[in-house]
Amino acid sequence: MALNLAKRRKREDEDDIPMAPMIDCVFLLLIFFMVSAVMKVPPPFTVTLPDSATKHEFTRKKFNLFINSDGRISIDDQEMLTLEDMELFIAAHENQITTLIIKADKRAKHGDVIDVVERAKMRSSKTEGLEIAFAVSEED
Amino acid sequence: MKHLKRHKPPKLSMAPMIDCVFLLLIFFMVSTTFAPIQGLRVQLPPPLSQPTPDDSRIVIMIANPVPGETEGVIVMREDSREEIVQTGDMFNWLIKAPEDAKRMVTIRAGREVLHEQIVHVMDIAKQAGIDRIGFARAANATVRLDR
Repeated sequence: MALNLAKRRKREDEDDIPMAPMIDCVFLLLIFFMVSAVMKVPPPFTVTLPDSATKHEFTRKKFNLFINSDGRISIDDQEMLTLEDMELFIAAHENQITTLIIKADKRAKHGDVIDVVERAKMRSSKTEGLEIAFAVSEED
Repeated sequence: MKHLKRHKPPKLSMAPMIDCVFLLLIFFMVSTTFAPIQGLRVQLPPPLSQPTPDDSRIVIMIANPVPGETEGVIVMREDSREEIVQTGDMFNWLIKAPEDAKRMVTIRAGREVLHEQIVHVMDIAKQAGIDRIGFARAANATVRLDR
């Protein structure tokens, strides 16, 4: 009886589905998602985007520039205290920024927005220049 | 002692690890945002060029809003013709503009104009079929209006 049970248990162990390939797959998927994920980083202030009937779609990028109604600027969650800081940041990450998406609050002043646009544009050494877009509200 | 030796070495149980890994996988799948950003493309003249490029004959000038108001007065200029246009009439004005002038518009706005109005004007221009929208330099962007 005891022998019989041990034998049966042994056979059960052998009949198990092989786990290793599944784990390989899952790890592969996990690493793919970890690498491809672009996190939505909120700025240190709230920004309400303006509405627009016509809109163009841009793929989500790592660096987004936020401007609030008081003229505060941040790139993702890092607040830029001066325009010079912003310029340096853009210059340092130039290779990673092909399209600069400016998420300006609808109450932001045009002067603040255009200052940022001009600084970013001037900093870019690319001959064709940096592509710039104003983000608009995603709701219809 | 003999009895112990006959025991198989303890197996590492895989199930909890797989549970963990699946949990992580699902977390990353849920937290990933592949949704595109909606936006409007902006075209600036290349650095150190003239404020108004030659290929832009239509200039939309927006004055700083009067205190208490949110929108600034809009003046449309096509070559040398200038007129004050209400936001609601802008679309028709742009549609009626000559075809070769409609390749590009330049927006020249005061520093105090709200971003919302700029985007609204850009939106109307796009609806009128103008894809290239540029901005004049801010240094001389103050619009003088004699009303």
